[in-house]
Amino acid sequence: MEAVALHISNGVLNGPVSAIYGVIALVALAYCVSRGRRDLDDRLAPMAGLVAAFIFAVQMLNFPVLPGVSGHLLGGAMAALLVGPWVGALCVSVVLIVQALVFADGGVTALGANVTNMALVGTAVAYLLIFLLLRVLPRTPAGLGITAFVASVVAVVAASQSFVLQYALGGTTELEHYGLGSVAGIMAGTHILIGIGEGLIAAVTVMTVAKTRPDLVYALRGLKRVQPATAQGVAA
Amino acid sequence: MGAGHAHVLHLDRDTPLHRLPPEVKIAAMVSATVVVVITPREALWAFAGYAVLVAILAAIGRVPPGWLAKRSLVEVPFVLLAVALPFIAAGEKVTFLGLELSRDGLYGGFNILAKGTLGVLLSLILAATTTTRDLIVGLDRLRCPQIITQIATFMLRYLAVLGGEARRMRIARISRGTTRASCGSCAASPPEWARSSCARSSGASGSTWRWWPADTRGGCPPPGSRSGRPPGASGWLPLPCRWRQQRSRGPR
Repeated sequence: MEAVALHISNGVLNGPVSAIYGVIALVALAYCVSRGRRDLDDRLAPMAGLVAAFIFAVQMLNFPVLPGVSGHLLGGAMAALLVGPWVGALCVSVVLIVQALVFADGGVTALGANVTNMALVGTAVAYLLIFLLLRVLPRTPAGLGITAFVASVVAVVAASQSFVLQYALGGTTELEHYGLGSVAGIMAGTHILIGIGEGLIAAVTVMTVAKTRPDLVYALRGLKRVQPATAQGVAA
Repeated sequence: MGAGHAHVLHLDRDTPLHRLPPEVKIAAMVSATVVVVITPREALWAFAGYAVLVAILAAIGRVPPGWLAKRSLVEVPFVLLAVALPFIAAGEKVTFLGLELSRDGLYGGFNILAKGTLGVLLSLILAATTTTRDLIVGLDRLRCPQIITQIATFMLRYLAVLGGEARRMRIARISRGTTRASCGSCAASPPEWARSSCARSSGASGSTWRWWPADTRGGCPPPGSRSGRPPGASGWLPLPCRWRQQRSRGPR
């Protein structure tokens, strides 16, 4: 029952915790904006829009996990692979902001918490794994696919645990039969399944882009940025 | 959550609420939601008052109650949580119709239900009275970093184009007698999306960024950005508007 999708609605978390997460999200996003500006050249900008559009579109598709529980792709891992961690986090945030403002999906006051879970924790964990895995795995479409899959599964579970932490800090109602440990367990269990679905979608997408336009994949640029961005970085 | 995004559409009316500048509506909606959320859950009369205010707003914006009810379905998972809370929450128990319910859970359920519903209704009224393009203009005027409005603009543009493409593919499939309509209607499968977006960005026409608006190289300001110029009819995002018109007119 607790495994409602990660879009937290208004009134689920109490005021102070929502406000604290709002501040955390704002500070982190401000940092992402400053780092993202350096990354965002005229090649990455449309790609960022495409990634955001894709995340927006696939978040409409809910896949059933257990009876009464469904999950959807969060997109952090895919965004981090395709457009990098900073712009990736911004892409997911943009999706969440538009959803909260006009599509009533996720509460406006819970926006900070939602951004923290899905855009920040999801993308950060995914990028950490991508960073590590791509040092071991070959930088081929297959290697990227495996990376996308593993990063997605772990990032989704991490995001779900971030929600459990938020609920522990500021859930408006205490649960009797379910201790915090079992809530964490239920969330982790269901989100591993959600993560597998997300991982498959992300892997197929990233592999297809890597095969057709490897130059559009941020993760394939390696640690050293390619020429246009380096030139911009120097100018900045 | 997340079902039903495609059905939440702007209602093309001419009301005072529609004419209000988007930044005012966004700021009002966000502050109203904050007020609702910080209201103590025991103050039942306050929630009744909010509900009346929301109803007045909907009436001013000429947003039909049925439209609102249908689009509020995104809230269903939280309604389920709210219904379950009296049974699973801790604390003092009360007996109602032979059922042993937790008092804290009852309040908790009501809290989530009332605050969630009011928040959903407020954002639906915003959606009904504001086009997505105006929304971006509003965010820009509220000093939202340009990189965010830029990504949002591209996102809405591509969503419209990919949505249109998926719709055409679906019609093509149906005309060929294939019944895989459900797959075609979901804004392209991952490989399809990746392929078509790569094709978009590489473009055979010689111009690498066909979708990149000519006047936005190195800046990308949406229409009516901080200069205060209102977005014209031939503004920056014609495609979502056209798509919306088609959707609202066509059978599906």
